[in-house]
Amino acid sequence: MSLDYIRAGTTEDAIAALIRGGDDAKVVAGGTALVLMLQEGFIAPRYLVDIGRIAALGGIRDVGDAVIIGATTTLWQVMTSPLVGRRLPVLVGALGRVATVRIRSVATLGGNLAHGDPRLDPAAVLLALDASVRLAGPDGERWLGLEELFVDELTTAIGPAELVVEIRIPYPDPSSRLTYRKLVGQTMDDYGVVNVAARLDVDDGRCRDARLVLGAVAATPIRVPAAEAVLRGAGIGPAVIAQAAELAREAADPVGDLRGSAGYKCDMVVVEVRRALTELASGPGGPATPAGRWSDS
Amino acid sequence: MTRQSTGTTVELREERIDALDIVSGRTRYSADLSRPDALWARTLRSPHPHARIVRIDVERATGLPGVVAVVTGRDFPEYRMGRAIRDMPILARDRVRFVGEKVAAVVAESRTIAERAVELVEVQYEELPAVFDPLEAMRPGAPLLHDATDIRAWAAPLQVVPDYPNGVMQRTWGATADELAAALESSDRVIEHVIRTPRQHQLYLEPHHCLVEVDGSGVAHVWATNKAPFLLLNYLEAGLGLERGQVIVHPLPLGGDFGGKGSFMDIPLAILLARSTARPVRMTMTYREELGAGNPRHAAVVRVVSGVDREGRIGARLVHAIFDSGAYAAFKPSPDAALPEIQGGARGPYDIPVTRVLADVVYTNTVPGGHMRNPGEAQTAAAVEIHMDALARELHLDPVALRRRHLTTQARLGEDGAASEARAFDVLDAAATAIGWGQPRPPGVGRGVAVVALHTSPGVYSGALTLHADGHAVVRTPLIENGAGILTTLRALAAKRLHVAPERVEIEQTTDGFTTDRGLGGSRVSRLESIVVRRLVTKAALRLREELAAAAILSPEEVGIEDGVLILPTGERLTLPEAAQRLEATIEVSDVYEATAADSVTVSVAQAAEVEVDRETGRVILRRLVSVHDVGRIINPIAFRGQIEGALVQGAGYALLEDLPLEDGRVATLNLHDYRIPTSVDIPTPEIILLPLDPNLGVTPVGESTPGAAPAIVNAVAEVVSIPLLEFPLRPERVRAAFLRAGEAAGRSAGEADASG
Repeated sequence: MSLDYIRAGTTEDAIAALIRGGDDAKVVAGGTALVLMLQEGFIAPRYLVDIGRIAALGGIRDVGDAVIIGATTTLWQVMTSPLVGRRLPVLVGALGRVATVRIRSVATLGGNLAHGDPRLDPAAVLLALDASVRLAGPDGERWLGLEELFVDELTTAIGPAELVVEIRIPYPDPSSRLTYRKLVGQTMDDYGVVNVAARLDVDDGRCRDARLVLGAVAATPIRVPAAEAVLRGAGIGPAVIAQAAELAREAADPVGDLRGSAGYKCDMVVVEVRRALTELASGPGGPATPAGRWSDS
Repeated sequence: MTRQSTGTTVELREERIDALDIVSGRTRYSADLSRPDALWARTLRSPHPHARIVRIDVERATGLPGVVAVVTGRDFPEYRMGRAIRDMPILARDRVRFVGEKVAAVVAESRTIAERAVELVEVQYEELPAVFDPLEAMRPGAPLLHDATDIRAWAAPLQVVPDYPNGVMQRTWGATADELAAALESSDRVIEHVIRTPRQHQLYLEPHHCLVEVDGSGVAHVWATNKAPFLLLNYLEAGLGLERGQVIVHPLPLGGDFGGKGSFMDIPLAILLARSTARPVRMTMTYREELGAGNPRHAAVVRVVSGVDREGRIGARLVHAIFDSGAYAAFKPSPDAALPEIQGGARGPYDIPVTRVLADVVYTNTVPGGHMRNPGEAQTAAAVEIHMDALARELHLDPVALRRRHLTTQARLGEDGAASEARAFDVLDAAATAIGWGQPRPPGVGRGVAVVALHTSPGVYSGALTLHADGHAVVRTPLIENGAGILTTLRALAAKRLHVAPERVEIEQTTDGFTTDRGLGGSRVSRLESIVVRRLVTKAALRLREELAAAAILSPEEVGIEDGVLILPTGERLTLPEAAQRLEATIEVSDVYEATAADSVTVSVAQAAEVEVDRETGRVILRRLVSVHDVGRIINPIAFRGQIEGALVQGAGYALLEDLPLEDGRVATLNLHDYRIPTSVDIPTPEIILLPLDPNLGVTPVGESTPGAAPAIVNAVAEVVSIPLLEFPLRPERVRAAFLRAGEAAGRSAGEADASG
């Protein structure tokens, strides 16, 4: 069986190649997830369209109220960007938890989102940050929020010949406190048993707005609107936190595997959400403090 | 960090002979080799743990373009392969007995074609009841894997086949059952624990591979991932009914071994396929196949019973280990079908007046077990050392103090039979001190220790030494380099004996000219090679003395020999290479040395661990790992340290992560993102402490010198959880469950206290 490797020079070339290849074509950026899928025989494409050399898909730029990151920017490039470090330390922390330094040096931010794996760290934290992606395809371009992007396990709303072009991450409000937690069950480079990304916007000790996102415990990274509703307008203390954590458990729908039974994972959702919210309630984790960078459990 | 207890750092100087070739990609491993016109073979493996093969249809597979042959077990005579016990068919004939057993093979022009053709082979199975647990397999009425008469017919010379269902072998050591019963009877308390140990894979980087070519005269040439060429020859000749000379094994370096590269794996099949197709055949195992159908460490269930008097002195001990053989016993090389160090691990460095050790090996419908670092000892030493902690806590004694009370005071025997003091106390004390035993513990932090006695085993070793007229020396050896650095060690041994720089000694790795060699394993090789080198140098000295004397018209007695140096009547001293140069002669000597038990040595080692355990999640962080060694001579400091560090990491994986769990008889961890091993960020820098070197001991074992790592870690976690942890690996869910049980137990006893108060 032959496999054609097509190195696209421009986004238009890549889209054209994807149209030609149809169902037999797959996009390669960093290739870290793709190669695993190939090895396991989950996919058997005939065309690989490499978008890694398309200059327009790289780069990190400040657009005033947000940062825009090109899809093929590696996680390492994002983590080490002074701009990202200054404005989005929680993202730096979350990316630091992705697999190993070798993977982080090759895997791309766009690829991470396009893969649609609910266990990947960037997905959960970017959902908490209200990020959106710009897609380019045969019918032109469109913006999509991450909640619309993730459809099901390994399934996204990206069309057959569409590409992630860039990711827009709005800067959090100065009153926002953010954290990202990942509970690994086995080794530091493992997938999480549960990932938690949380954001509390706090004014005078009261929560004005909240975001609570769980990764690795459902088919997609999920928000927990019920918990967010409880937190919104409340003074953040142990009782509210415990209530939010229980609501998160109800929202979780994990699959038991070698990293733990479904029951264990649900219990860990409670523990990790409580720890995340307690950390935010106690003050640090504001947008400008590099807290939670290695907040391992 | 390597330091002696005096605080001096061991110098780390000598580079590996093969380092540059390995890192620059010049080293050729088995999978790098091919032959013109080579074919690829792939096998179809059973999806059922136990089934009758009703029908195999190869027609569609045979019809695929590029397929040269499709064969089943019925296409060959009924060969059975094994190291000591020949119970394993090359391809299943009528029945399959584990998920992953080979059922059919496809030979094709490319690996991809072979892979596709395998999927076209149609097999109709009739499923049979299966048994996965050794204790269940022993019970009357359990599904039988093999006929009892067959098991007896296959038995190795010293194998005692028990009468219960699925028994492979049973063996006892030490006290009789009656003596034990009497001693337990007279004990004040009898305390027992049943410990379960997991199935661990060796996880070498290089999976099994072989290339076989049959030449014009019918001789099969083998290039394979195997660590002992002469043992492999024995297996192939016995299994396939071949004469010496009909197979030639070409030795190659290995990309890791850890005990797992001693079996024959696909080689007999590749020989049959190369013969029947008259073309060279290559076979490689994917890592999926390695994890599902390699030859992993045996899982075991170990019952440890101690009879204790009022003073907390253990008067009687039973260690009963039941090993899960898997569906075949073919990968066990010992003539009694046991694993080599069951007794050593079970007794440990303790003097207990009445000790009985009992081992059973049982067939189950699981992947056949093989050897991995400390076979038999990894399981029994872990069980005994976990029991020691649990026992101490039950008796309200300090675990280190309880061990000290029972440590052997027997002297060790050194290289020349000279006795030197036992140092079991020293290693244990050094480990306990280093880990901070008895010091206050921060919340969630626990510490554990384990102490183990190590023995080296005997074996036959061959070597040859050539001293060239130009003054350089060549040592020829059939030893395989498995990554541990044995060839560099051999060069250092020879250079020291010959009084030359290591660069003046060339190591030639070959089987040519040799007829026997036990090969790598058992942590004995450096020790026994040091004897072989000493004997080679002595032989060479005698030969050169004769030639020097003849040339100078002296009688040989007039030339002295002192520590491998020739002393002329003039007082002039010549090293052997200098003598060869002076004579302008090339001399060659060879040696086959059959080591006996007298060449063995026993030393003690201790490991200690400090962990931090998250009560709510069950996650264990390994904070510190200490390893203390009683050492004779160190030949190659880099290799020495590398062996300890690697073994500690494998021990940490054994304790915390690694297992091949089954789901309906299928190994559930069939890739390396599910089968996790510790990475560098999961492991603290090992703290390696050497007792002051005791040169009287000679070369001491190091490759298998950390079997205490796993039980020390388990004991450290158990200290935090506050109840015994009798099953590992300690993945978070298991640890959390233990915390919950401990909480319930505490709640119960609090309730009882309330009720009684």
